[in-house]
Amino acid sequence: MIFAKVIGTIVSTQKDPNLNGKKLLLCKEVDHSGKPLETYHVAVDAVQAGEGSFVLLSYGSSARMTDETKNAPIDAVVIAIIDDVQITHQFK
Amino acid sequence: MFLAKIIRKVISTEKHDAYKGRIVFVVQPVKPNGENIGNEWVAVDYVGAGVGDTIICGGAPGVSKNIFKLELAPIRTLIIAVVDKIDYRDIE
Amino acid sequence: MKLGVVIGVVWASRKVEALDACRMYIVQPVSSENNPVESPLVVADPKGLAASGDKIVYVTSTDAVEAFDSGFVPVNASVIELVDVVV
Repeated sequence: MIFAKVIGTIVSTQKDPNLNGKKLLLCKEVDHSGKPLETYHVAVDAVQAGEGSFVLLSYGSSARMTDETKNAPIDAVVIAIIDDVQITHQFK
Repeated sequence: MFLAKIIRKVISTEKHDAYKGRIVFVVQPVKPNGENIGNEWVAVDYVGAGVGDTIICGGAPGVSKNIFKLELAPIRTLIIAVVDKIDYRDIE
Repeated sequence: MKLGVVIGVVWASRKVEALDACRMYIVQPVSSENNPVESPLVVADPKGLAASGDKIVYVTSTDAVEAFDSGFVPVNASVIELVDVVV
């Protein structure tokens, strides 16, 4: 799983029928502190996330393991909205 | 599959049910000439290997499910052979 | 599977139903000599094995899903062993 910030939504009418009724979110990958990285992902929303949310993304074949995304041809899903990330140990 | 050398043994009491009774090793991927390459992996023994052995590691998703006859097998890396001898000619 | 040390906790109240009651940790992959390798990642703990600071073995990709009893959860990495000692 990776951290990401939702930066937008994607609207599409012509798409695979398995994607009907699913919200597509444009996400930018960030590190644990929220600092943006260079990668963008389009992910299906499984937790009613909104623009600006700090979320957890699951990718690859695991992304199809939710009721919303079963059988859908997708490879990224928003699985959680993050409240807080606590770093308890530092490796130096 | 990749060539590796068993360097240490992992001892643990608290583990997933699929790992009960199995021996788990730390393996270091190596080149055919014995030089280390990349980072260490953790692998479950399937052939009775021991520390110091050169081995073949591998397994595709779902393979461990079959060979251990488990319904759920979160086992990614298996030790599937102990190497006796490698005949090879390296190319530049 | 790889060795790692739990260095942080991820708190999320709204998450996919299958992950309710499952804690998420930030794990730093380490070598057997306890040196950090690669960058930290988020790992789910389906069996409640780990706590902050523990050394663990985690599994990634498709097999991480198998660590859950349901075998149907959107995770990329799961804790499967709490390491007592590496000899």
